[in-house]
Amino acid sequence: MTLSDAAIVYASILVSAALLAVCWRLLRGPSLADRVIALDMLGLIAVAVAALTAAITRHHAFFDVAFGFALLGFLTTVAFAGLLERAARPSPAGGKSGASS
Amino acid sequence: MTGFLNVAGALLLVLGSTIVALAGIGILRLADPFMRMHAATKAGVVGVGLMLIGIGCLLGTVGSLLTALAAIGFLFLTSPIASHMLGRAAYISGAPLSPETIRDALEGVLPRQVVDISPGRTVRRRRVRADAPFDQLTDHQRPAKEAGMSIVPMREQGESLRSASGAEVDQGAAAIRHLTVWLAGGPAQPAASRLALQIARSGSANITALSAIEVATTPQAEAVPLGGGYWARWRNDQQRLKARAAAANALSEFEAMAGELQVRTTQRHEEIDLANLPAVAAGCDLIVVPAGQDPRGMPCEPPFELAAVVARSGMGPVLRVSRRPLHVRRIGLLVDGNPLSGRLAQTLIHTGLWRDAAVSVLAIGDHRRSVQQFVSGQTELLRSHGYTVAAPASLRLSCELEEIDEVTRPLDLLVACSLGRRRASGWFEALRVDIHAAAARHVPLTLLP
Repeated sequence: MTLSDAAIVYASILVSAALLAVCWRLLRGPSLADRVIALDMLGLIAVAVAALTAAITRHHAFFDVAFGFALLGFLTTVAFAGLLERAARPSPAGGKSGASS
Repeated sequence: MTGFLNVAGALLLVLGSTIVALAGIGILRLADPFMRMHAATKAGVVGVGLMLIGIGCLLGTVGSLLTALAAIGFLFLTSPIASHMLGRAAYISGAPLSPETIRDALEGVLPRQVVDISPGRTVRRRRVRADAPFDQLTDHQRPAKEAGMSIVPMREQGESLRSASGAEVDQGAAAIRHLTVWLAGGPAQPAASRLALQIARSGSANITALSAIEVATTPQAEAVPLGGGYWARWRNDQQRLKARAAAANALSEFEAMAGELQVRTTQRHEEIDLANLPAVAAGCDLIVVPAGQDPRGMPCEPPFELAAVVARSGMGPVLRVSRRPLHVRRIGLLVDGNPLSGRLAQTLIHTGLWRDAAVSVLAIGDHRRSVQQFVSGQTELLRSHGYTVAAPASLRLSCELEEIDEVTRPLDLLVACSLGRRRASGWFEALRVDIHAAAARHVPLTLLP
């Protein structure tokens, strides 16, 4: 076992532990904000896992996958933040419901 | 060289994965969402960045190193923005702060949904239980389930009994003593001002010209992208300037008319949050509002108009004017299942105007028992107050636009409980023609309770 293999094994175990912790927070909550934060972190861990896969298989394509995850995670987080904020605020024209029939 | 890259890569990988694991522990163990976010964003990004460089070194090609650097650059660019937005959203949505928090620096800066729970519990808004005993609720919490039954107060019923039993109909009992006309500008404003002045002169009522401009408590109403806050503020300022100019124009026009008709008036100008509307116009019998504009002065459809907003805020009866009819000869009451439908006749009677017009009751979907009761009760009430009531007409719940046009074209005044629905509550609802909105589009005057 070379030095790099040992480092990869060590990193895989630690990243898996972090993944478990984040998944627990994602399922547990307790507030919606916690879940969104956990989801954000899950995106980062996905980048790490894809990079580790690239290191294990010595295949460059998985590194591009990691890059893709890094791009995508930002959009997810921003969209969820917008949703969270919009759900919290009452609509500006709101008030009592005057809907008919 | 490859040996050096291997050692450096392995070290970076070990360091990075350790930091990622620490971030995971932080997410698991820290006390409130904001602390957890601090762990996730700072430690997470640094750890993943180190791991990416390390693996780039391990792979050892120039391409992989460049990809790693690009990914890290992108993470460093986007992560602050994303976490800023996330933190803001979490604060606004009322994510609980840990009890050990010393100072909330954002208090009063950002609006925050108040949640009265400890950080350990799920965020949930308080809601009045439907089965709570009616007497134990305060006035604000009481659901409007009895509104359909006790809409017409006992005093009115007593009057109607007296007149039905042969006594003279009390002509002067209900009349307008205080009138407010809303100066919003727009194409319908001259008609609204003139009509209000005429009503005030004929009944020698006090008339107040009110112009109110919406001022949002925060300049930015929702999450906006990078740099958007500046443009949102700019747009708000522009809209406010426009609204002020429109109000000033309408006011000078109104004063000219008042001088012409020799009516004494008072003026008021308010810049408020729309939620405080009822306090502004408290204590008036009728509010005359020009049609065709939303509270920001933009042209819009009837359900979103200023008149609809004012009527929903419960300030009093609203008379929406889209043009001024020569005479008001035919009045239509648009009755549907809405509990407010039971107040239409009372609203019309209270104005004391247009007493010689013919009233017809239009029922929407009159196979429903509540609608039948609304129709018969209000016909009775109008007859006993001396109105001529024509035989009721009815519209199906799913009628076509042409039918509505045919029924509402001869009308000069429509008394309805709303100006249409603001959003359809389902797919089938979206297919249906919005009868209230369609009717309000054609009739020159609309009276909302």
